[in-house]
Amino acid sequence: MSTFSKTRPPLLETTRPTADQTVLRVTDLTTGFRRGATTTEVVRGVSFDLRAGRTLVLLGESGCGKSVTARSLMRLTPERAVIGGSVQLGDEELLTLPLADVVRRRGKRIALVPQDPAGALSPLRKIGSQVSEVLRVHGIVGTRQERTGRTLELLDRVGIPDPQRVAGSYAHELSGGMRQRVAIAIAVACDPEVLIADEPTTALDVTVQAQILELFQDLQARLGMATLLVTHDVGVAERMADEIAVMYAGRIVESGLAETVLSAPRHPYTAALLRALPVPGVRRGELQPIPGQPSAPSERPAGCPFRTRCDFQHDACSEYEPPLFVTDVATHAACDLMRPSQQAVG
Amino acid sequence: MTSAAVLTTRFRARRRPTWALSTQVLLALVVLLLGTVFLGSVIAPYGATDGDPANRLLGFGSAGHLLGTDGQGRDILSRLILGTRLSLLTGIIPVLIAGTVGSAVGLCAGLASRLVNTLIMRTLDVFYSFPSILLAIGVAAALGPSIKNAIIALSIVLIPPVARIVEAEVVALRSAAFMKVAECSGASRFLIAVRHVVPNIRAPLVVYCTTLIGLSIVDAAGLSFLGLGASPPTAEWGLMLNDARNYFFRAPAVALAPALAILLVALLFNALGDRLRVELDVRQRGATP
Amino acid sequence: MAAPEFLLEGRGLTVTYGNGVRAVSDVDLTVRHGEIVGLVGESGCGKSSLANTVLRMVKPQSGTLSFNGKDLLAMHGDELKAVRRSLQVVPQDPSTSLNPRLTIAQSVEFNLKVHGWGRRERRARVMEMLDRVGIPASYSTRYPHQLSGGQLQRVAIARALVTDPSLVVCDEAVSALDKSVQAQILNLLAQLQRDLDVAFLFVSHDLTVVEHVSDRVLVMYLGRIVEEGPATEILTAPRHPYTQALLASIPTRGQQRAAIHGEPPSPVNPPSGCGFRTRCPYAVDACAGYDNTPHAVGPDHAARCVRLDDLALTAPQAWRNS
Ligand SMILES: Nc1ncnc2c1ncn2[C@@H]1O[C@H](COP(=O)(O)OP(=O)(O)OP(=O)(O)O)[C@@H](O)[C@H]1O
Ligand SMILES: Nc1ncnc2c1ncn2[C@@H]1O[C@H](COP(=O)(O)OP(=O)(O)OP(=O)(O)O)[C@@H](O)[C@H]1O
Ligand SMILES: [Mg+2]
Ligand SMILES: [Mg+2]
Repeated sequence: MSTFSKTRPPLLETTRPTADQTVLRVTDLTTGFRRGATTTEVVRGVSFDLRAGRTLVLLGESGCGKSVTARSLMRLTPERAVIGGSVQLGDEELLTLPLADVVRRRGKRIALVPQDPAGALSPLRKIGSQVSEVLRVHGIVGTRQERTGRTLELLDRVGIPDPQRVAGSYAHELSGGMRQRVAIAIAVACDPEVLIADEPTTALDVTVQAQILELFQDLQARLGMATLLVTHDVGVAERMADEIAVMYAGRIVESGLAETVLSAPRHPYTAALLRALPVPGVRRGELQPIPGQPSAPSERPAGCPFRTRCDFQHDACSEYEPPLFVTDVATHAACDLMRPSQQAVG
Repeated sequence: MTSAAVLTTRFRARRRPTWALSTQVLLALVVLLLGTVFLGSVIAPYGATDGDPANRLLGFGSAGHLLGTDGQGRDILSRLILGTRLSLLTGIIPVLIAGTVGSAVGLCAGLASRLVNTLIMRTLDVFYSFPSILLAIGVAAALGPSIKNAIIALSIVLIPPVARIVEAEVVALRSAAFMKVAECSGASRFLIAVRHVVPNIRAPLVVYCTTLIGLSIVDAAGLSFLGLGASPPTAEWGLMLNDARNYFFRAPAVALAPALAILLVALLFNALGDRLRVELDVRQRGATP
Repeated sequence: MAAPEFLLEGRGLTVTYGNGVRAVSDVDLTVRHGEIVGLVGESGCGKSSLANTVLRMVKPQSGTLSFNGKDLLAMHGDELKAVRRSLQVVPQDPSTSLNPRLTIAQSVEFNLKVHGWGRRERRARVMEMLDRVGIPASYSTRYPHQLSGGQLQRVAIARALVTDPSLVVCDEAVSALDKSVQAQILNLLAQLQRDLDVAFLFVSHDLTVVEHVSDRVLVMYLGRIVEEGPATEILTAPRHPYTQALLASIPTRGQQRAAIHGEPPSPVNPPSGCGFRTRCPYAVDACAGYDNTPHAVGPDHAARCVRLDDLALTAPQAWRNS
């Protein structure tokens, strides 16, 4: 729908990381929430790299810690959150940088697309002024005229059919899909190196979701940003991911190239999750659900947190929480069955 | 700044007042208050009307008169203790009446059709638009000065706010899925009200009414102060305050004791309401402040 | 008198709200005994309005609706109450679908109380139903906040089935659940349908779920049923361009372009003729004058499109290969 031409260069001429270069390196990220004297860790030792022009999908069910991970990267967590580990953006360590400096990088080098754009856009100000504010705050464009021009260009770039009209309207006058496009326009306004999208299409209809996903792919192809896409939808993961990290109970339990993880899952949770989907060919009533439900962060069983729901649980599972082992298909899986000695036996 | 509002959607934190008293302390205070009501005549050092003109307007801490004496030489401590019962009654009875009538009205309005709802609520709004004390004064003056009439006036004044709270709760409840299910089950409105609505409004109602007791005590004192409630020489806090007015510049301490009593009891009921809010919530039961 | 062919039969149902929104336009809806009928469509297309019409929560402006051969719209008082016993609902949101102040047993029991069951029978029946939906007896005295979303939905299902209804309307009953838990509930529904021979009207925006669970599927767009047919046919050989677009929009590996653009028009002033023509890739002038008569495209399979014949509409690529 959008009218921009595919070959036009990015709006800003900056030195961009070359394709596949690691722009964000997360190591051992741990986030807990203080409550009284105790701290409940909801993200535990998460590591991954985001590469320019590539999409990492963080896949997991409700409450597993996806949003907290995404927000921890930008230090958007509440005050009682305790964040540990390391988040390296280029050669800067975001977790030790003064918060004010991190705030300055938000929207400029690392940007967020929220799940609910209605809550993120101000209801009181016109769309145009909200988009151009980002440009002003980050000192991207000088004069007001230039900013207005750039704003319209941005709105056009995210496939909004009538930028002039939309710029002059308020958030409530737009449909959910349009609001999400505006949120994306704000996120990519400063050509960020890293784009974090937290369930950007969950609130949308499936036909609109397809359009937004297409937009993400277009933007990434043109701007070459590294993308972290958070979702609980296996279909969205399949469509968008270069790499996948499957999260369960605050940890990444399986990661690797998307194709491999989805076609040859090695962690029982990933396998079970894929099996549970209602796909054609499965007869009614013969889905294979995962028994039970994920346990709350405060009442996780010792050892492997998935073991109580797992078909393959054995004695070793309660003894330790398996780290990520390299699997036979070159992915990583945090399951005792993937322990090198086990693999040799099995 | 909103680089953008997009980036600052925060997790919502739950707030709890840091000054909240613990349940035990609150209960102890309530027991103390009730003790004063029931054992007043035993513990009060003097009678309510035992005046000693020779010892007028004694200050705090005078020998034999811990809180001093008033303009007629009556012991202030004794009058405070003996006035507790009446002051509490004028606080509590109107709230009981208004709580019952108001919630019935609110319940009906909340469950009724839109037209009936509008009719009831706009009528209540007319009353609600007056400051409570003003309305109370008006009604009490019309009925003539007496404790009974003051209580009636206060009850009338308190009905609209109670009804509004209840109506708001009921309307909010109506959109809950379980209400739709209940309607689909074929249950009568009455059964739905009793089984599904009342249990859900009980807690906020009790909480709100508890805080109203504070207001009611203050208003009742106000009526007495204006001569529209209890009449002299009855021991009643509002009346004592009225009396103290005459000596305010010579002996401000005479006004201080009843004023503080009113304030503290009103605060106590407010704190009690806050505590009940937590205790009555099945989800937070037992949470310590 | 023989039992009527349809348990539920609605003809020409039209729902218009006070604000001028025509949420449901001229919809025919039939459910046979023991059948699971799926209703799928995007947000705001009128699914809930139609479901609420069936539940007698919304009065249609025109049309007829009969339940077990009796006119549902004309019923009131005791007759309606008796019908409500065999017409139940499972709502969407697990968090508000049960009264937070009642234990789950009390919630389930309420339905029986309404219909005058004695205390002892109630108790036994409630326990039996909770057991059937996989809720341990020890949970019966718990409050809703002590249960997970999946368990709450099980209880909601138990409550709907406790009066032994013949039709249960599930309005997005699994939409709020995690996929791993959703599968449990879908299996449970299928099993209950088999065991109890109860019919379901299963409303959802998720085509994969609807297809999986239903015998017959109705596809709704802007208040109209644009296609209806056996679930497998809708999935493998959809005939209406909108159904095809819905299928093609389900994200899969290697997908590039979105199937259709734009968003549904406002139901306040819908386009003339075919409602989908503003987004339809095959739209022609004739679409604006289309009178929305359904065309049969197979036994039990019909679609509302002017170009059914001249469009050799090919089925979209199978959407998930595994
Ligand atoms: N501000 C907070 N304070 C305390 N606990 C929190 C806070 N935010 C999140 N949590 C807890 O952290 C855990 C992970 O939450 P998170 O929002 O990351 O889940 P998620 O994977 O994004 O789930 P969803 O799919 O529902 O969005 C949950 O158990 C949640 O209760
Ligand atoms: N009580 C009402 N008054 C006025 N308009 C309404 C009312 N209920 C629904 N609508 C409108 O009717 C249309 C259809 O709504 P409905 O809830 O039936 O859609 P739906 O298909 O169930 O959508 P969703 O998937 O979002 O639940 C919408 O445009 C909605 O705004
Ligand atoms: Mg989340
Ligand atoms: Mg709906």
